[in-house]
Amino acid sequence: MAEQNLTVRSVAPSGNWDARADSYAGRIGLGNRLMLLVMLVLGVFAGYAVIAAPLPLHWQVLFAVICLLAALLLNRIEGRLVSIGLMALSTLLSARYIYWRLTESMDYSDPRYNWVDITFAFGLIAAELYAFTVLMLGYLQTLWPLQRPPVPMPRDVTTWPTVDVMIPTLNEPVAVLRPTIIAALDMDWPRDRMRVLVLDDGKRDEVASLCHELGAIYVRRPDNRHAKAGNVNHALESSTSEFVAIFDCDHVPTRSFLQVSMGWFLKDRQLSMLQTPHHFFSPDPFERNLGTFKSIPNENELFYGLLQDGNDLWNATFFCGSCAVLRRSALDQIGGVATETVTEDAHTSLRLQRKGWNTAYINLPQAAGRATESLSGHIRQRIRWARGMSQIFRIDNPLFGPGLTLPQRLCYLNSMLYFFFGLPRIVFLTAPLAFLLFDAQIIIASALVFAAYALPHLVHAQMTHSRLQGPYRYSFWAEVYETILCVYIVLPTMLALISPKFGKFNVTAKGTSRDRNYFDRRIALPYIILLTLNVIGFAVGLWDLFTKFGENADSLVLNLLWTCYNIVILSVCTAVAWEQREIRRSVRITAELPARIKLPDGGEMEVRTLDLSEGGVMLRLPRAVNVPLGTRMQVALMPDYQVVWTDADITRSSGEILAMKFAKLTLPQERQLVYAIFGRADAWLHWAERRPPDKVGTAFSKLFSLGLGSAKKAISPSKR
Amino acid sequence: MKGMSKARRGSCRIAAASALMSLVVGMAATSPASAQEERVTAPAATGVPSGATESRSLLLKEIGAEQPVRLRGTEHQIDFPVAIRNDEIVTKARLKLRYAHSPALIFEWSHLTVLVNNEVVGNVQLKSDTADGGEHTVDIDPRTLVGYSRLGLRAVMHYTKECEDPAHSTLWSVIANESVLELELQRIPLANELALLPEPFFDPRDKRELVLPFVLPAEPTPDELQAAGMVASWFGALAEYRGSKFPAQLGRLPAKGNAVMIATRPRLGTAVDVSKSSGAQVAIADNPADRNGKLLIVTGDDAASLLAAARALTLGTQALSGPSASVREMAEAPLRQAYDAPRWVPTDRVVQIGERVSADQLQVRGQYPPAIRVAWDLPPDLFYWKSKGAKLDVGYRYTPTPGQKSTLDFDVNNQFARAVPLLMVDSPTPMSAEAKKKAGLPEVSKREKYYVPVYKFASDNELKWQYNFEMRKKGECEDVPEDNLRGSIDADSTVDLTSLPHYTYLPDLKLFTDGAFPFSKYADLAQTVAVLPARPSAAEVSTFLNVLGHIGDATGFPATRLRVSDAGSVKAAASDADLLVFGTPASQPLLTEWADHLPVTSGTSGTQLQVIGPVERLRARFEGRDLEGARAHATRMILEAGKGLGSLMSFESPLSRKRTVVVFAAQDEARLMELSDMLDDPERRHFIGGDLTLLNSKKVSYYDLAPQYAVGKLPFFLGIRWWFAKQPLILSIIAIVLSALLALVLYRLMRNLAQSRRGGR
Repeated sequence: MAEQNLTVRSVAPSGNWDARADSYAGRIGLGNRLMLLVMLVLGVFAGYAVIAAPLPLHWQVLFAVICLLAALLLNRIEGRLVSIGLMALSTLLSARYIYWRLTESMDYSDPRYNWVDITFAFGLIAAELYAFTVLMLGYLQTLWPLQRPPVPMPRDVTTWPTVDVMIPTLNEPVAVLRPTIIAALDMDWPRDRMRVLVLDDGKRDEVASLCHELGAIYVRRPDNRHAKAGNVNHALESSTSEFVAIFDCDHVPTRSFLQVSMGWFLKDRQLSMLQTPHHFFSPDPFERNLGTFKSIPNENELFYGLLQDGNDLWNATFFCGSCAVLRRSALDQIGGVATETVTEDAHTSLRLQRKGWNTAYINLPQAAGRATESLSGHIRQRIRWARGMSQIFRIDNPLFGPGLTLPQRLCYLNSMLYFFFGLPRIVFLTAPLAFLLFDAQIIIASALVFAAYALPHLVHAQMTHSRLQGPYRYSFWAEVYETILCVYIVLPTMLALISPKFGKFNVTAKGTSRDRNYFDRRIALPYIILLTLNVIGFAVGLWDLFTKFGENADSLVLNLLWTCYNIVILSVCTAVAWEQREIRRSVRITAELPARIKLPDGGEMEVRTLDLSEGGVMLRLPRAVNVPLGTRMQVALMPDYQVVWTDADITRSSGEILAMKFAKLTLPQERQLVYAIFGRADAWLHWAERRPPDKVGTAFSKLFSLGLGSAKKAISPSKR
Repeated sequence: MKGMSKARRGSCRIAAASALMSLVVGMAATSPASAQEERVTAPAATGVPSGATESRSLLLKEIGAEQPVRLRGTEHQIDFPVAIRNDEIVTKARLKLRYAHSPALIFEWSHLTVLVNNEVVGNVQLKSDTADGGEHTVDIDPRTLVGYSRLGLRAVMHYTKECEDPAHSTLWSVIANESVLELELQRIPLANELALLPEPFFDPRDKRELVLPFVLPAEPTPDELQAAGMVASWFGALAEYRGSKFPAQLGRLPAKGNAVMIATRPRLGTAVDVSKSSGAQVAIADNPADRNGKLLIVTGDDAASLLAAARALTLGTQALSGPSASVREMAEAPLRQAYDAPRWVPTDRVVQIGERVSADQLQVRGQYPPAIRVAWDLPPDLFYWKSKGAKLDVGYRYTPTPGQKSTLDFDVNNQFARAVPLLMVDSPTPMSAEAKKKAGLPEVSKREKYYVPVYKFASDNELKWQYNFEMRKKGECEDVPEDNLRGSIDADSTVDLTSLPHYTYLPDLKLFTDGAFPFSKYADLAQTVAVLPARPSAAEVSTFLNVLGHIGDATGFPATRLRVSDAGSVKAAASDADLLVFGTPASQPLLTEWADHLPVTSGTSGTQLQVIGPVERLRARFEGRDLEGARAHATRMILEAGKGLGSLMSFESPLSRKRTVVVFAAQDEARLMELSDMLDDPERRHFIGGDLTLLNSKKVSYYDLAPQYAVGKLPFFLGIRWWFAKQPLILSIIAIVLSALLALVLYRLMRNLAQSRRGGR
């Protein structure tokens, strides 16, 4: 087995500032406990002053400008120290805003305010408090991404433990199962210490024969209770290995998965679960329908790129159901995979941690799969996650109960609280309309004073998030992701809170007909309604602004700007509902890999691939070669690993470019192809290398143009 | 305010302290005064024959009609109080009415009636040609006007002979508040009886300003001045809104009228024949120059007994009787607590309205009842910033009316604060069973809690509840005015101001004008020292007494612990006191000694403003004060006034920090007295403020020139917020530095935690 050279993807380090500041801190005695105590006391009073001292408008503006300038200057310095400092500053300013909001903008004692005003106002303040809580918990969660490196396995193979690789499946096509099973079987691990089991709840004979053909073990249980969790638990009954690796049937592991993951289990006897990222090689509905594949980080990347890494510092990484390894003895202690909720994975790791087990995360993608096919599929999946998290919150609340440390409780809490964004997001999308359409006084304060307090809170949060999350999520995209789901997850989460049995919703898919573009009107209905409301509100507000000659001008302008922002976000959401037809069904990746071809005249040539798929390959030759179309040639992908000649027919030959389509593959050829696409250890590590860093202005203008494009499409739908 | 509001009534007898005093009253024998220097001499008797009459006119405006008197409905009566001094009798009385009324009345059935003490003294028939305005004179039997009387004006009006609506808008009459009650009065000398005190020197029935001369020896000692100040403040407290003036006469008796005489016995003089006795004594005697005038004599063998006599007069008034009283022992009253002046409502606890006003003043009746008014004076140094306000818990009872829009309106200082709709019987809208049951009862009672924002509160406040009972029209010919309607405010309703701290910035002469702050903090002036010239002139003593009268009115308590000193001994006596300084540059050495601290100094080289340093100019600009403009205006005032400039100044005491000095200074003695007169003048007192107030012959204006210092205490966290609310730069620096420190600390902690996590556990 070749040694893999893996580089840990990390935030740009800058040893200079961090190290210098650290030694300075040491010299002024910050490590001393007494010093820390004194600092804590002074800090509490100083913090109280910053949070609670009410400044008149012109001085609040001065204060905000100075803080902003300081933050902008500091933001130029790289490194974790400044990141933590900016988080602290953002926390202070947000707390200041919330204090002002609660004490000075909520005086409804004057009898001219009626119940309409008060209802809207309390709705808004509840949403803001939610956002503030999530902001604080988020900072805690991402305070120090651990970036755990893999631990190499010991040289003596006889000490390596036994692993059962389980691939549960229900009704996915066999063509999807094939590469997963092949790649699992080809993982670098002693043959006698690894088994691959396919757990088929679909009870299909073709899957059984597939397993027989490939050399995996086929498992069929008598019933289908508890879906995937029950499936795995059933397989666990007859499994005796020390460890269990679980893969969804479309998550194809690399060869190095086990070698990367298992080392930590030997080093830490208390480790019960190690999670690796879920990487998608195909575009998710946002990327496909908006055309942003690979140019803008996708929705998944924040969680696996940053949040789980941050959780890892606090020993709060949770199980995500796939691409993970679990220690059998730990699983047994909690009675197997949890079955009480629909997000059985998160619940399982919560239970493990209550028993005192550790969890870990390695931020290196070691498997890849397909993203959800359509927007409705995406929404369906998220509803299930939201409902499941709400169920866990209800029946196994991390804030209470034994076994967890405080940071663990808060990290789990944050992950669950996140899914309650439905109502707050709707409130934020409609709050300005309360003023524009109904003239409700939702904030009892002058608009200028409100802006002077709220803008630092928003701007610093945005700046800090851009700095921390930039590589994983561009600015403002979180609003798009949340808005897409907000209407759909309100009921499931609320109902699941009342009783975990409630909240099952079926979002009917329109069918995945991919041969033409179409607008998923049913899914997009909520966005269209909200967008229309906002546009009406904007028009009414504009009318009021120009006909009322400056009365209330500042409130109107503020609400109009807010509405504008909502309109942009909602337009982008509507754009996502334009399902684009998918030309290619099979996997295709862009990769530059070594290959070798046998020329028709007999010679061999070393070439590089341009892209590679299950069906064919496109090559770049060192010199132009003209080959007539349809010629059958032989190509060997990744010859340094193994030379396996594969037959392929030329489909295109122009100069240095050669495209060929594979003929029917034998099993060894298929295995080599799977290795070339999925199995390389560094297959997914350089995914994001060519992406530009996040810039707030650029991100917003991109969203603006996407929204505009959606409007254009709505006005003149073209049939493509 | 002063002189205008007639709301304050009889709440100000200083009775509390007397219970703690031991006082022995006995018959006292007079002793002939021995001839010594510095005696009081009497002027030649000019002898005004008793029985001389004096004419006085009282406008309705002066006895309670702030607005013209509007009478509505078929029968409506409004009463006004007329009080006659005890030492006067009315010989002739006439009411000259000016009135107007609705032209659409049935005149044979409509008339105005004048009543005195509910006895009819005259009727005025309404006629069509008096609708635009008519005059009528009613002669009133002078014997009916005695002591406290009520002058009633009633209108009976009808507009139709059938099916009359008693609330019809055409039923109105207006009586001008320029209508005048002309009286001729004759003085009758009262007996010399201490039990009548404070009459005849001060008669609560007399609504005019109290002018009471004080007679002191030609060169009064500090102790005599102290006793005089105590008595002046006592009279000032009694006079209340009327205002008080105490012209001083040094070494001679007044030619006419009443006076107060204060001196140690050796210095009393032969003009007055006081029963021979020793020790402290309080007596009343005839004024030798005027048979109708009385002298109130406060005297003692030495300084201590003189002060004891003054205390007996002011604190133990009720125990005095007879023409003369000897005071055997007069212990000092216990020290007063801060802010416990009787005039002020306590702010350290929840106060019931019933404590400040008697229960019968909280009830009204009739279709158009008068307002329920409660005086609510507060210490001037309450800190209102970021306060929710006063917490009121008000209970009220009323009879439900058939009217639809009955309300109870609550005003603070005539500014609308809250309106509560009142339940009605036979309501056209459906009411809940409970509400119906409630409304069916003869009385409804409710209780409500709410906050009144503090910007509505000043130093002296009036809480006003006005019941408005609307009449509901039942229909033609069925409407009858209700006269059994009652409304009241529960006496146990409370006002809670305990959340307000005492904290304010001085110097601020407005606080001195409105509430005599900071001297009034201790109602007995225990922390006040008055500094007078070593040989004060009459004008200087008058100024001093007037100011003490003003302070007495602000506290409602006599200044029993006031100290008087001269410039030389003030440093020893006053290291921890607030100072009142009086004098002219020629007579008061402190005006030159403290020239560096005074905003305006008058010396041989003329009058000039204090020099302001560059730091102070910068600070003024930062705080937005137009220092240059103020100084230019002040300079113009000084030039215009020349030698006739009066200045009222305040600054931080050079003798101790956080202590205040208030200075009354002028080169012209008349102007000096005018400075103290200004304090009571309703028009000019609004122009007193800041740290410098200048008075010339034409006008008065005030300036904020000097930096301010804070007195009082703020709760800790409120203090943090208050201080930092003015320091945006410091706040932003703190935010950045705090973030940096947090970052340094967290960085190490997290890095260590990460290392241990990666090391494996």
